[in-house]
Amino acid sequence: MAAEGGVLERIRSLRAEGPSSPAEIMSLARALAADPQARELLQPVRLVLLSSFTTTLFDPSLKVEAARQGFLVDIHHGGFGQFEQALLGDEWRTREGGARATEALVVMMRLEDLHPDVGFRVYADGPDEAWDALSANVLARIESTLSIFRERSNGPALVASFSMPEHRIGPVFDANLPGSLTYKLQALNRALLERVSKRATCHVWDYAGLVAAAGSTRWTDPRLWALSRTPVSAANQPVLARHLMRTVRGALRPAAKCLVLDLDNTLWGGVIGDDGVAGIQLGDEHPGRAFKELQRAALGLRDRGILLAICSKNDPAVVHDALANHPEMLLKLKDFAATRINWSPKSQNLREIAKELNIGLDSLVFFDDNPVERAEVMEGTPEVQVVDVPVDPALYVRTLCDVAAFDAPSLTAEDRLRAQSYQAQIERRESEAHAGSLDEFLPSLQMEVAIGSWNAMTAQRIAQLVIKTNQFNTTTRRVSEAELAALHEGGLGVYWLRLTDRYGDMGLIAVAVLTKDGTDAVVHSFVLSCRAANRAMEQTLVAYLAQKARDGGCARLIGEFIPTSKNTPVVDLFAKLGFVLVEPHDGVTRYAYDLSKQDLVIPAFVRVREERPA
Amino acid sequence: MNPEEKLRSVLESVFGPDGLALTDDDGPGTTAVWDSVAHLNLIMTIEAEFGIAFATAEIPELRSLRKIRARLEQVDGG
Repeated sequence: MAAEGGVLERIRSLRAEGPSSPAEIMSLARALAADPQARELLQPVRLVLLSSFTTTLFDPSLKVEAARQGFLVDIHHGGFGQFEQALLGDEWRTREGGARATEALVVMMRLEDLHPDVGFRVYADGPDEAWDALSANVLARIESTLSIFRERSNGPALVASFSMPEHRIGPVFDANLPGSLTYKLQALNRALLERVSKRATCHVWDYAGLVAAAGSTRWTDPRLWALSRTPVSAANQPVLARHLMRTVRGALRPAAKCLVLDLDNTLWGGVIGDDGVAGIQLGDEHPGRAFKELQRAALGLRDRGILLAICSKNDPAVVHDALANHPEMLLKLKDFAATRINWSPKSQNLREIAKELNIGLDSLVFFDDNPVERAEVMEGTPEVQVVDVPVDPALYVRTLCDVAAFDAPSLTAEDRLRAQSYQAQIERRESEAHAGSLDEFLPSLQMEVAIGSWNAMTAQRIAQLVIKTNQFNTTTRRVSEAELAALHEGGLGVYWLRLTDRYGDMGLIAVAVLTKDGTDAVVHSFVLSCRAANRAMEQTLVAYLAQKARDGGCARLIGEFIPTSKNTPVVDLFAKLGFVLVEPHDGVTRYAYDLSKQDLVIPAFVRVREERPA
Repeated sequence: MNPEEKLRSVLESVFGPDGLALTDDDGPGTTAVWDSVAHLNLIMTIEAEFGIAFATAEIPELRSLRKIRARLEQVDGG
């Protein structure tokens, strides 16, 4: 992957939401043509554009957007207003790319280019012979073009639907008026769909929908139209290219089969292990609405045969409770074809999901709000398509609807029933622990840790973490800010840990309270934000505490554990670090570590900086 | 970036490294890379980078780099 640092990487990192500047597009298109890697990694496609207007200005945008979808396009323009005749010669077949290239045909006819009266003089209060003749002629030309292409190529053909002209009489009330252009265009587009869909690998490209979404008067630049017969403004050319290449991709590549969803801050707002089933954000009002809408969109994909799966670091019992009992929950356990609710690395869980569902890893689409999880998946299972989820939940739904991997030109009855057929498998659900190896992933995060002791600057955040954390909390002692200050002064110290990795600063994410009992140092409280779970922070901070205990003249480090309904993730925290179970003390489970041993150390891949009190 | 630097960067995006070797007398037709399609691409890119819009009749009249520079100076001075 590292070798792809050039133009392909730049193209992949283009913003999802909007077109780039013309200057950027042109220099990317140029770099693409000169990059030998593009030839190696992208699938060559010969794109034949036949249209009733000029299309040559689209080339830079088409090349860039094609590369974004994994294609290297060689574009052949049929020439202004040429359709059948452009295909009859052999010129378009003998260009670069050779026999290796897939061929794809795009037919774009605008009615206003074929007849100047369209937009102005289409209205008839009854039979309209002129319109009928125009429609029949247009459909016949499209059909003969498709037939000629099919004799020469097996590639897909896309026919643009008829868009509303930029200029027209009566734009306001025409939707009310049978016999108006608005009515007639709808009928013509239905007739087009019937004719085109009867032919193998021929599809309608929703050009009319694209123009309508942009606004038909904003779509064009009258100057470009006047000077070059190009009916799309410079700003909209990348929009057209993006939509067209997404359609080409949908026609050429099989759609993804499964959407794998995270839970906390993805399907609902908040962290269910900490906030509880009643405390999560989910509903019809802000802030729960964005999450409920995402659930609705996921169900919409399921209706189309996309399998749904859960991959979440959580306690399965809490999640099952929420799915079954939260009144606003649209998604139920039965809607998921597979679930992995555990603390193992997500890439490992995705491998298992693919295996369980008997589909390829490249059929999975992963949607998770956490960039660290996404990075782990991209590294551990590069075949999986990882959605670049925005930070703001209000943008989640749009992001999911825009996932090109789910585009499929047609749906069969089997597709629609597929999701339900997995229901049988759902009954035998796993809940086994998955001990995954993080050995490769963690060093790649370049973690830097600052550890310091309680002070006025950190007092508030420490108290908040101690009071809010439920899952990664060994004793769940809810100690106030004032009590923490007293514990710090009277014991071996209250310590905090701050984590930064190559993705950014995660802030103060762990707290430990160390008290003294004779020659024992006691971990009175150990609290970790679940965002930082499985990042070796437990080992880092406990190893640091061991050193503090030695410095304080202690012989043993004692870890205390008080079970609650929520803190199962830390049930074996001390045992995993080499502590041994000893007698309970005042009813509290205790683990001990002999401080003469030296095997509890900070992992080599964590860089630690000690912040000394000023 | 001053206007001249901005123009040079536009020329490089549209024409590649050759764009930096263009002289004031160059324009559509004087060199192979500057054809009518490239001319429109150049004009649209200048508009986006400088935040201006030319009138339809102006676009074909901007037929040399000298004329383009003169026109951009007006914008800058105005």
